[in-house]
Amino acid sequence: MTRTSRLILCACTVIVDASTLRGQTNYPVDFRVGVHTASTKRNASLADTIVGRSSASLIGVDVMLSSPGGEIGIGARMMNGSYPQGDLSFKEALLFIGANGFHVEAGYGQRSLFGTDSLISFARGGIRSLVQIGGSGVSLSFNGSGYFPGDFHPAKTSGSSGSYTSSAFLGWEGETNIFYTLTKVPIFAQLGYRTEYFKYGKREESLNGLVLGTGLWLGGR
Amino acid sequence: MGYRTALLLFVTIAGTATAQDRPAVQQASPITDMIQRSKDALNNLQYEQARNSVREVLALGRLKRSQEIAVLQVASAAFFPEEPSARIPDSATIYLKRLVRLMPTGPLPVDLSSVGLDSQLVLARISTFGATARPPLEITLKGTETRAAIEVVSTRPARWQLYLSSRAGGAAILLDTLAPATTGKLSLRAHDGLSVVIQPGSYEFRVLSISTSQPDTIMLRFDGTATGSAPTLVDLPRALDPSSFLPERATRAIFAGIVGGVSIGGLTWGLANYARPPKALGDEAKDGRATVVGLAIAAGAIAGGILDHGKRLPDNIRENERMRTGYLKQLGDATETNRSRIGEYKLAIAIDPEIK
Repeated sequence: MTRTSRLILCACTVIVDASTLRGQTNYPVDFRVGVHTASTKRNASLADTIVGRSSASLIGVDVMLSSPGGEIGIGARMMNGSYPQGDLSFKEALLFIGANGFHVEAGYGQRSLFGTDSLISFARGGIRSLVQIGGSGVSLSFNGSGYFPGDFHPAKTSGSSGSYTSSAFLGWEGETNIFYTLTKVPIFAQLGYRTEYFKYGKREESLNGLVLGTGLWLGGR
Repeated sequence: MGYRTALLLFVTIAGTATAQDRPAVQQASPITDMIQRSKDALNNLQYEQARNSVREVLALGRLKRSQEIAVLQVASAAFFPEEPSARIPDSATIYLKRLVRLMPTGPLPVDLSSVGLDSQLVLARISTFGATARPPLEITLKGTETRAAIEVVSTRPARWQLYLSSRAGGAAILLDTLAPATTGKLSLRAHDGLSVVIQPGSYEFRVLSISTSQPDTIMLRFDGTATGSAPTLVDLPRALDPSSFLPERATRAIFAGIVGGVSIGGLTWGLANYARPPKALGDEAKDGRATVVGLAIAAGAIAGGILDHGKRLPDNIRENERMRTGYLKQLGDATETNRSRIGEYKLAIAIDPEIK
């Protein structure tokens, strides 16, 4: 049996076990793992001059683990894709506290930026909201956050006049999603929209795209 | 003093004297003696004397059933002797029919039996509805067991009912019934599992035989005494009040679906149209897909809210289950205690087989 087969078998076992437990007991944790693809448009500018417009699909993985009430949780996400201006790589670990309806979250990660091979460390802070529509299996989520320098020192960014200024703010992101979790098995489908803006030095880029995803969600109903 | 009273007094005195003369039959009553004398007259072919004698006995009234049967047997034989010329068939038939009502089965005594009379008895049984019952002298009932006890028999199919009437008063209670039949056994039981059916005490057992072929009913009564100690049962817990249960589902999330859908859908559209990057990047064309995604999110959330049946509330479900389990345990314990006590309930019933 190949490694992939073992992984698939393991995943199936988890799903079947989880579906057996459903309706009898609450899950001891809220756990979501999913893959998504984002059909994105990327605009890049250098010293306030548009240097590229391109489209590509990003492939990403999200993992979230929290207490059933969502009081505290951790997560990670990764995205990768290839654009004509260069590959995009994004990875992040995050922590959130609050309740299911509203969380404050903080993340730390690295991402690439067009025109350079080096990865930029960043910190992220923001809010996240996840609301379940009764027991229908439909959930809505929204998150909005800002990017900050990963070393927590102001970074040099391009000013309004094209000159460099120090800034503690690297950009922002916003994302909305609707999830639907099946009745019998804890499998979800996801539709969302994501937009982000990131600047570092003279480089700036904006990314927006439509997100489609699926995965396993214990506690999605 | 009436004729009957005088006759009864005479019979009593005569019977007493006779009894003194015959120590071996001290148990016999004056009426039994009269019946015996009638039988003796019949055996001596003194039919008229025998007939007169049985008439006198029957005229006394208040005979025990066994005495009445005995005198009717003698009367039947006296009016339908073996000697054809001495027979008075019509009168014999009248006595035989009276006899059949009390004695639906069984032969005539050997000393009275004859081929002709037996044939007449068979004919009388065909045309007359008669019924009788034979209870046991003693029977012991335990717990909820049902014991077939009182044997009944009739000349024609009849519905049977067994009633119990307390000497202490109160309405008679129906103990058992039988479907239309000419024979069967009526049952007794001391306890039905919920309450005592037969309390210790003095009773009258009534067997009702209702003919299914003609409007005729015969009631047979027996005296009986039940002795024992009725069990004291513990009270069963009161049924759970449905209003004490917690709701196991939340209310439908129609409002949340609409508000959430409109908010997040609108936010999606807003992200594409208002969260614009600064400077040159902000001048780029807006992403029209956001509107489609926003509408899809709004529609999906509203549909979810409309189709929602309410989210399950596990804490409430557990609490309700705990209440049900606790109630069932209490009920089970009480039921088991009562079952044990009922099982130990013994009732001894003594019945006087003489039908009144």
